[in-house]
Amino acid sequence: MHPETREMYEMRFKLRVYESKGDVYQSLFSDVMQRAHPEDFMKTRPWGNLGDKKNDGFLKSERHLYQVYAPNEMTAAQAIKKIEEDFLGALPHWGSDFDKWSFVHNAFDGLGPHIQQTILALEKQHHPIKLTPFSPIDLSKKLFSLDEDDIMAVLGLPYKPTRPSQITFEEIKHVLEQLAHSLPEQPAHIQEVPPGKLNANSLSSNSRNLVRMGMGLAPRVGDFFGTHRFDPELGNRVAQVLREEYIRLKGSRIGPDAIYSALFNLIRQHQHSSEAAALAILAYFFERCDIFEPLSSTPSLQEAEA
Amino acid sequence: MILPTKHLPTERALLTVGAQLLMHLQEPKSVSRLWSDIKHDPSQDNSISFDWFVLALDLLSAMGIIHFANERIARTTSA
Repeated sequence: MHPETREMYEMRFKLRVYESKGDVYQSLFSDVMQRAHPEDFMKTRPWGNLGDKKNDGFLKSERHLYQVYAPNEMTAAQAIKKIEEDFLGALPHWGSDFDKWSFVHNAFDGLGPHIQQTILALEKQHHPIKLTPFSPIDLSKKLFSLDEDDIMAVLGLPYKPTRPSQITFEEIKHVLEQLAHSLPEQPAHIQEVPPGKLNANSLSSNSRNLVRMGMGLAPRVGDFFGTHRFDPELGNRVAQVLREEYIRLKGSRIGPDAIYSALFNLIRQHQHSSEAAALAILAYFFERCDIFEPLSSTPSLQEAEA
Repeated sequence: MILPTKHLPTERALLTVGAQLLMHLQEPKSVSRLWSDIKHDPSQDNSISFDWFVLALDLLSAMGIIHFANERIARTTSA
């Protein structure tokens, strides 16, 4: 697989996880597992008033039962209650069929200590059954172990690297004009572009590579702003829209990679023919410090959360 | 808008466009004449729209540098 294709697939997978809650995440999990374990993984769907009997999927060869929990907001108390209810509820129905039970969740940042303690305590009480969490990272490993046809079936057609000359002004213009619908009242604060922003913002290697991919195309965005005939202020307005969205996302206390993905999706949702254009726009505003943190004494996102 | 920013090149800031307009106001001119002169001056950035041109006139007027009299725009100072 082409490295840039893989980077974009990683980004798409993250977006799918962030956007998929409840049954939608369960469908994503089941889809990947059925492709990873054909004729072995048994997907469960609720059956009338019988429900699913606390079984969201079963891997027959490993005697492994899965239960999915993907809320909009995961609190420790709710997660602990869910684990206890689902595991203890599964024992009467499937106790003789499984040796391993997994709590499938959608928290990219991991589980809190109280949830881990609950899993360990249940495991001790019900030896020799093994209890494990199954995170989005585990799901991504399953997904990217598949062949390209299966990955494409889950995440769509592969990203095709685009030379700058292949991006038309009309394409970028369309994205920008869609994005600039909400007009800011205050002008954006102007800052110098500092070096080393990628390090300062603690972006993962995946996000860094996507920024670098976009950097090669970013001058086209600058040219576009510099020659826009009817609205010389468009660049400032788009910068302000992205800046406000960045501040909102940062306030929701999600990590820098999640913020990058969300901003990418914000641009991308307006125009679906080119991921390259969206990467270029993000890189342009990243480079100019309209989004993410500049190099200064300001603590990074992760430091601020510590 | 008035001053250059990261996303507004110097040559397109209203202050710069206003200065270019003043260079063409050695004599009082009608709005359409001044617009035509700007658009046909090869040394000027002729990508600006009429809206932006009018905003530059508004700025010069607000600064008291030009005024409108007898259907003509004229400088108020000889500076």
